[in-house]
Amino acid sequence: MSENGHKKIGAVLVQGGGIAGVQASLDLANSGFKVYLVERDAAIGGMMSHLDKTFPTGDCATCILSPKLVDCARNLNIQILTMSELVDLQGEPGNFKATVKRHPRYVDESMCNGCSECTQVCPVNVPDRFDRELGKRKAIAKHYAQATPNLFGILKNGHAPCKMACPANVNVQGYVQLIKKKEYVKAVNLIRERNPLSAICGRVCTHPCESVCTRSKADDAVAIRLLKRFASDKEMELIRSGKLTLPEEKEPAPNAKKVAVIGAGPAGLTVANDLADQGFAVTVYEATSAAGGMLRWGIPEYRLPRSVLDHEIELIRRKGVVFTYNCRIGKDIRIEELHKHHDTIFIGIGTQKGSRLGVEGEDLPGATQALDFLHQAHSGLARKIAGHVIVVGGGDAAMDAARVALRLGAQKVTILYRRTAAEMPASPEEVKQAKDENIEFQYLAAPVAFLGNGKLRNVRCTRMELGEPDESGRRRPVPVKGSEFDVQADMAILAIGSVPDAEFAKAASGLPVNKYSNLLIDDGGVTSMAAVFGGGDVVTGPSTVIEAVAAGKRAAESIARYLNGRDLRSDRFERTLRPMPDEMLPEIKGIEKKERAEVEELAPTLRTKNFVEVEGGFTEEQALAEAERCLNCALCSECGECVTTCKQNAIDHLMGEQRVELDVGAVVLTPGFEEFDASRKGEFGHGRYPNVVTSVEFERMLSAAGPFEGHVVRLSDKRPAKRVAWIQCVGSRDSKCGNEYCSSICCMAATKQAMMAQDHTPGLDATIFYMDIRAHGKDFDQYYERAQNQNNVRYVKSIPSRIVQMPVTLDPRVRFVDEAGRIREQEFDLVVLSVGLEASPSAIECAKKLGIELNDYGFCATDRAAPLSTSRAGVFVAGAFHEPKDIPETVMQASGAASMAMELLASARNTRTVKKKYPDEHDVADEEPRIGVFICHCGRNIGSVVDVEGVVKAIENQPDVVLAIHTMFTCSGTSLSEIRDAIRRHRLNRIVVASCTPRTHEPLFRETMREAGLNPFLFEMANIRDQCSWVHSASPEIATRKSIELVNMSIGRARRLSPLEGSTLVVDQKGLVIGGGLSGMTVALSLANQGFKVHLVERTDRLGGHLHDIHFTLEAADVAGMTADLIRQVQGHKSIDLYLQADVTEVKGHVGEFHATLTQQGKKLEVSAGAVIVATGAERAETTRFLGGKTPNVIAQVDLEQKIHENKLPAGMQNVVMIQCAGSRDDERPYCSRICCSMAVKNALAIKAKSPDANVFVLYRDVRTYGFRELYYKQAREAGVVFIRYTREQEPVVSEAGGLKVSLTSPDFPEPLVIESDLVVLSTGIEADRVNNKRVSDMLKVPLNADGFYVEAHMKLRPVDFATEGVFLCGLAHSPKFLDESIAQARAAAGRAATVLSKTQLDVSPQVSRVDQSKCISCMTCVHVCPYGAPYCNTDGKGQIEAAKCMGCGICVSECPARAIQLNHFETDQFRAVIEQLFADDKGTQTRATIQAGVRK
Amino acid sequence: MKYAYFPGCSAESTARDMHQSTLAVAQSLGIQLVEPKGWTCCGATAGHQTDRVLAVALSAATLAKVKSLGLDLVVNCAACYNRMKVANHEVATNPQVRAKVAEAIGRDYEGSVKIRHLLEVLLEDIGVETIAGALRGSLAGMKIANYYGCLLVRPHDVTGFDDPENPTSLDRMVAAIGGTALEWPHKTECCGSGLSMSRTDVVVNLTDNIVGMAKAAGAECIAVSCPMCQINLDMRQLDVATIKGRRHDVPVLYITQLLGLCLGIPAGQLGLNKLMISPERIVKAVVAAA
Repeated sequence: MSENGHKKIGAVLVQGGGIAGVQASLDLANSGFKVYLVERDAAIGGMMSHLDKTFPTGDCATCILSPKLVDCARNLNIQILTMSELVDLQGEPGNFKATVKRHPRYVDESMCNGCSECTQVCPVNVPDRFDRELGKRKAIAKHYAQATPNLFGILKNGHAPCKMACPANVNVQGYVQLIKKKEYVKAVNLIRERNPLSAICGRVCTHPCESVCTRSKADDAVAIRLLKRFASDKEMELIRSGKLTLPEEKEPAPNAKKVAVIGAGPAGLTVANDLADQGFAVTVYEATSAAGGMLRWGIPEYRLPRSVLDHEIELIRRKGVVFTYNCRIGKDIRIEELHKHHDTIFIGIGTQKGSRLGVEGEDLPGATQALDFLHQAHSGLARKIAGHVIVVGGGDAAMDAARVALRLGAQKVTILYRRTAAEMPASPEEVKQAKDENIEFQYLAAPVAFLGNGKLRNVRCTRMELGEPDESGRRRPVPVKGSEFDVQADMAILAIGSVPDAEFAKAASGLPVNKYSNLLIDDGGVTSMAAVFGGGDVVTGPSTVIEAVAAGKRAAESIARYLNGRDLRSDRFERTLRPMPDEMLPEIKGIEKKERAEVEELAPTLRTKNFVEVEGGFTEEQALAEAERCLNCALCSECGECVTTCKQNAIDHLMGEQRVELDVGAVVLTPGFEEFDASRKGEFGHGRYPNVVTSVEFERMLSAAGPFEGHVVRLSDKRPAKRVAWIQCVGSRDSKCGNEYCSSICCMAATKQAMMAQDHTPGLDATIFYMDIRAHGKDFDQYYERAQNQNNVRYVKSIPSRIVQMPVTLDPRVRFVDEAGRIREQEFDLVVLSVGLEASPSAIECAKKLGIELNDYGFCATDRAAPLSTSRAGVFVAGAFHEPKDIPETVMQASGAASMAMELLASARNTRTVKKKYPDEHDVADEEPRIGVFICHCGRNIGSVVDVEGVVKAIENQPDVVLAIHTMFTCSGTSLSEIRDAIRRHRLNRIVVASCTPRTHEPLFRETMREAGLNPFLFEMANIRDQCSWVHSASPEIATRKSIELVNMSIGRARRLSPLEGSTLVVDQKGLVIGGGLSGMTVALSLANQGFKVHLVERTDRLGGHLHDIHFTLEAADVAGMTADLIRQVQGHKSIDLYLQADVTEVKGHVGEFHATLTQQGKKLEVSAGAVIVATGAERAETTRFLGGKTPNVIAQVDLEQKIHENKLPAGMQNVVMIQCAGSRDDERPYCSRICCSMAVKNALAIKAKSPDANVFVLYRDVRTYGFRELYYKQAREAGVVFIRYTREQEPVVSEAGGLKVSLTSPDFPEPLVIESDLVVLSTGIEADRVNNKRVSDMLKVPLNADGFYVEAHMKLRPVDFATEGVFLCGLAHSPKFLDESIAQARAAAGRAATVLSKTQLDVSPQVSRVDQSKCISCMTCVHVCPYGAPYCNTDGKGQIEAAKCMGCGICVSECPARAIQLNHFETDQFRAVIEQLFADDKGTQTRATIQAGVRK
Repeated sequence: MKYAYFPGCSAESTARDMHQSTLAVAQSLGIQLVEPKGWTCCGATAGHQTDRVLAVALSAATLAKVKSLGLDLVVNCAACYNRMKVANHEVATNPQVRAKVAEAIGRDYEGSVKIRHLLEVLLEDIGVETIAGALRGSLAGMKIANYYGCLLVRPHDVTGFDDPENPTSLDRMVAAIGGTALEWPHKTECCGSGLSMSRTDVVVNLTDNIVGMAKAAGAECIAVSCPMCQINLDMRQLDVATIKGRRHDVPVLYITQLLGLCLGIPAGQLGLNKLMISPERIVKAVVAAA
């Protein structure tokens, strides 16, 4: 029960899927708790998945991480919620309600099978954040190559400005991308989804899209209109050449609802198109003799060839649209008739009547309206004209009229416009072309009368000037008094606007119109008259084609909704639009300038006498280059290629955000960190200088899976980098940028990177600029020494002041002060900035929402005595969000935080977990093999290279093969159920799948077998993807032949497979803890609080160990109180059996079942346990150097602390000298004792606090106050503590003759120093208790390192486990560490032990080695070689293997001289069968000779 | 547009060319500059090395006079600009300094006059488009190394001008008049002008370093905005030639001189005859582009 009596919930939410989150999840799930692993990214793995190698082990980070990720994904009790964040947490510890926001992946997680076909077809390349934008990725892709879950996802930023600016919201970015892929027909089809007049708009659109194009900020807008034209022209060309056929003519169903469209202009055509697409019966009534409206009667042919217009009208007609021409509504048919025969009417009659000026002589012969003039011209009725033509107006119609007049024979054409060029509404292209054709422009002039006697002779004009802005925002033209002048004219054409035909409104009584006869509609094209809709120029007045199309789209949607009886307003198309915020637009700063492609125009001399199209189109080359200029603002272009390619139908571009509520008992926060933004340190020029990279970028560069495939190159020219420098502390230990703390990991990371870079590029010259080398972890100092002495990595103690970039070479030149104090400059090929760790803004935001306290730097505020607890009960923290730290400590904390949650929720263990039930296994022992073979196409992954059907044919007649089939995706849900069916139907007892890698897919197929009642070990897999189609993609025949061979080999092995049964063992649910110090007590309490019984064995007569020596900490934690409290709790705990003055003297058994003998004051006791925890601690080191132990005023730090605590410092003390590394980092103890620097700082501060006048000198080699302890180092310097560096070569000398003195030569001082000292304090460090550790290690068969500390199973990822199952490690026994670190590690050991103790039974894998007793020659080689201590000498004197301890590695099998050992499932005869099959002839028979011949080959 | 204008002492002596070109450019662009009556030394060089309060008081004395004009103050000399900014900052953030300054200059000045560098005014108030519209010539792609020196952008907390690590204001101006602003490493390197007389050896080295780098980067000319930088980089090239035997021969022009040439102002009105390294080639190149 929780505090308020609510039932506790046996589920935990882990926020953050880095290594910490993964470890915590695994520990929790493996000890009986349901886990929700919530991750912001599209895959788990966190920062570790970005790394190349780890230090100091040199492991491939991905290789050691991936298995853990896969474990997480496979675990039934871990639900991974990617792209998710915890946004709210209500309730109380034990019983929370968590709200998780899930961002859309746009790929259905349950459908995606990771086949990658979508990525292959995606045309959009965008910078890859995972690779720190050093490389590109597709808009749809996996987060990284080994991403877990193995799912694809789409990056979207909303919709690009071009799409948003288009009135019809055509997916511009999408079709531009398709053009880039040469998918021209697909591009046109995508355009036509929103605009049926693609080819037309490709010529005449006013392209509002181009004016908002992001590219225009860098150079010029992408030529979108011309790209549209190019794709449309390509379509027509394909049709003309017969490569593409016109779509079939369709007819609406007889019972289809009927729609009348009045007017065949762009609006009407769009409505007809959309409604015909939806199966409605559409009839278009057109007053003239052909469709097109203004497109035909207004726009001249030299701009829009009629063949283009006719083509697109024909496409609409073929959809089943009926056109009735020469039918004027109100005249030829009454509108009531239409109502009678149609369910709805759309009115799109446009504006037919030219606006009048209302001046004298407007109706004189020779004066005409532009619309009438153009109509006549285009219908061939216009006569030849001659003389001077004046066109009045500044819109496109005026330009058209002027240019048509020219083409019809006018000698001179003048355009009169009443404002200036700047206000002119005509499109700039048209104005330019008109000017090129020598048409004159008279600005600020307007006609006031048309003069002539029966025929136009003169146009009287007045000069105008611009006054105040009118409602259009343009300045209103005002006549200049007395400025009239006459212009001779033979013809005047008025192009000053047009209005709808008023007759129409009269004919349709009750139609809602305004005083200009404009139809009134709402924003969905709905009129107030029942069943009547409208749109286009009749509503808006003269406007653009694309506006009319958009109006048609809106009306069509309304009409369809109306006819289908759906709500007209909810969830309309407009709701799907998501404009992008400006800050998400691509950065244009670094964009390489590329010129916009230009098209050719017909020369003016060649065009003014005819109607040939003036503007040319792009060549293919131009179009492709132009499409390449698109910046993909919205990332995903929604071109739809992935949707059509995905055979799983997994892609959903409309997926939205979701909120999930989860019931959990506890929360573990593991959100990790974010790297410091190096551009904040402007002096280093990151972001400006190509050859300056961050350490994370460098990791991606080193990674074989990264953008440079592991080559260390300069970014400027991709040449190998030979001279590489690292600059440490970029964004750490720097109050200027606000990060005063040390990021802890960078020194080692840089050292590792330097060594790895040397590995990649032999002879690479590495220089590391540093302040202090902080190699404070286990075995780190040895690694650092190796880098320095063996690899010749040059370490320079100096932080450079700036980097400048050399002209021409682009070499970064680093300026620094060398050890001699001289200013130096050195050029490098590449500089790596070791960027520090910062709390991630998202973690800070999450913590704020949850009410979690943060420290000054945004990290989680914790107490050193309770390092895993946040300020909110029930919410725990682990990893870098707690404090910058490296991987092992992160993993320790993760297991520790898991154990905290386990303690809280112990009563609810196993209440939310599930265990899968399988049918009874079918006994196949006596059956002949009946093999089913399933060969996978993996979409095109395998199928496009390997002849999959051919492989089936080749192997289907192999002996014992009962069924051989091929499937598109064998791992898909349907295929898996096919396999299950086939097993039943064909009584299959062996299954072979030839597809991808067993690494990811074998468990899935084995699972399927179990579900069908077959033993999972009767399964065999051939990897014909990685090993055939991928590696031999250029040689399909070879790939196919190899596939056949691999499948045959698998069939051969499958025949010999036998079912394996694992055993179980009963777990003794007790823990045995060796050592009663801080770590031992913490483990014991944690386990006991979880309800497990614990034996706690302590050698001395009191609990607490070295805790009793710690009197205060840097952070002023109450150590004495904590110690007393811990001891009290342990002593009083009913589940803890405490054995003081006792030793564990013998341990037998194995995981789940250990039997130990305790010796307590001569008595022997027997205890049993399921897990053993080693917490035996370490000792303070002593030294005789520096007069240590030889004179009373030379003391150790521990003694100093005691004296300070007891106020026993010498009175009148003037000078205290502390000597660091007095017993560490030397030949005797080559490791760093980790705590001494902070301890010196702590004691120095304490001295300064008590005696401010006393001088404290700290003689150091490197000050290693890592993490937030750095703040105290700074505090100490501010308090006047003097830190003086010395080197190992010139150690300080302590002498007593003539008073206690310390002499030293510091590299930072020109002269030798002598300090008269009242007190010399030696930081002697920590050493292992070699004698006891040796005894315990022999007893438990666990290893020790050269320094006498225990060696964990894996330094990075298994820091508290031993290789021996069921035995765990924590505290100083592992390595020197601080109090909080011991607590975390002890809790981790408890958490790990709980994964064993929480189970009543343990499954023992059947995949273990066994000894054929009859062949064993009792040499006991197996006992010696096994790393896990599984083989033993049995009572017969033969080797035998303890299945519970065997890890199935096979070392014993290969070492056994008598070949007496076999590893189950990897048996010799199985592999012999594989090899035999390889050399078998086609009939499946083979001879030994062929095998030997093959082997010799 | 109307501003108060502080020429500074060097404008009347060693940097008459800067002063002349400033006035000519301002006139050409319709910028009205009003010289405050009775302005005094800003407290640069000797002043601020002698007494911090004195240096602030010197600038504050002028600033107090400008305040009564009710105009923003335009300064072209980088050192004057820096001192004025420091004075404003000091009186605004340090009440003790303010009190002492009030005592010294006989009136209270609180730091409210807005101090603008001429470049800032040209780029922000006038704007590159207006300038482009007024051009009669162009640098025609000439490669210019823009040299900002130390005083214009540092300390950034005080001057608040441009980016202290990668300033670009001169680059933008050069681009606006048709030049190619070079990406070169020594934009903000110190030229050591303060030591020009006392430690000529240091200054010769620094000049050699800076001008040599500009030349290596392909510069045909160095553009500056500080009279100390100008005189140093220009004049010390002669010492570099005699002492180090290296003739760089890179003309060092004020940005106002370059701008003036492109605005069609005759070279004689821009003080171009004052330069040690002949700017003849530059003048010709600009005229050719007109």
